Amino acid sequence: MSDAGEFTEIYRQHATPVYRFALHMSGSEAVAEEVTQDVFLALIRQPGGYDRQRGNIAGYLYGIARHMVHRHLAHDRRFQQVDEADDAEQFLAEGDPLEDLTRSTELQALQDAVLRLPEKYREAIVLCDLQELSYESAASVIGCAVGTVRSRLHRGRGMLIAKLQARCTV
Amino acid sequence: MTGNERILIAALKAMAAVETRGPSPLLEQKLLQAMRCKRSRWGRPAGLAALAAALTLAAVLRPPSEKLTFPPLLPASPPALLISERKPVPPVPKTVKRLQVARKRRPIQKLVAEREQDPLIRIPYSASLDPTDRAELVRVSMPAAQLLSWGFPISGSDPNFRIDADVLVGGDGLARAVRFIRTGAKK
Repeated sequence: MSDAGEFTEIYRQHATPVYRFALHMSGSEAVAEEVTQDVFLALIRQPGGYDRQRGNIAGYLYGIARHMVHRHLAHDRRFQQVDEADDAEQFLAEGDPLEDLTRSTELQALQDAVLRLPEKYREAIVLCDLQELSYESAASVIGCAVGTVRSRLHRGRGMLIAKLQARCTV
Repeated sequence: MTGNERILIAALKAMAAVETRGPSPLLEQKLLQAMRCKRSRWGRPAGLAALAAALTLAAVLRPPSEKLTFPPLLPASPPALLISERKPVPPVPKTVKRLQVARKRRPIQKLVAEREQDPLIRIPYSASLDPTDRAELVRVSMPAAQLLSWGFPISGSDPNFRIDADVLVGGDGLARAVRFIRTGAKK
């Protein structure tokens, strides 16, 4: 990171995706803001940490963000203490819940359901379905095989569908 | 891929699309400021290296300081040959003995070394010194009330009680750290 212009360009291109990754993973705007700040501070302090041969800058930034989000989640597990009954009240769909998912209230319920997924499935969903990274890029960020990403994604989606269907029957 | 999975993926994409939140605009300014600070602090590696090299060279080439000499407290002992020929040595007077013990116990070099090893205590909430800043160590005698005002917990009721200390003063004239001088270690 040699000059402010280059940094600004990278920041403007990647800050929002990094922020939203942290937001979808944690459900907290404060955590997302802090993680975004820490990711770019790391880039400033250790400009040599990014190796172009190992991947693109987005993957590098997501990798740092992932570590920081995990640290936050390990420190504060309150996101898993969502009351099931409250969720059922929020979810007002009638009929097939999956077909009504595009409505805003259902999107909120979907977001809550994503937050309740185990972390390894959640990050696969967030990276591939929400951030629209390729399987290869997601595998690079997570540090696992592409096949692992595929299987976690499939399992995560199945868990989400099961959660939403179960909620509708409450 | 099942129908439910397709609907779910579409919903997840919709969820991502309606997400409008992003980092606060101030964050970019803060980060740019952090970057400028870092560059101003470390952006002169050649100058810092030259300064470090000059200091090292000066330390190496510096002539050895003159050895401190003290007047002998006891008369120099006669050569062994003479001792054997002499009568038994009379007992040393008590006053001389006391002086000899004192000299052995606390040589000046040791006192100075001890004083140098005492740690500097950072004054609470004082700004940290930049590596390029100038600082000066000043020996002062100050009232205990001054330490209280810096935030040090001081026991005792007399705020006018005076304490000797070395105070590290930054280039801006503000105190950054303090080293208390032990009684008996004063020059």
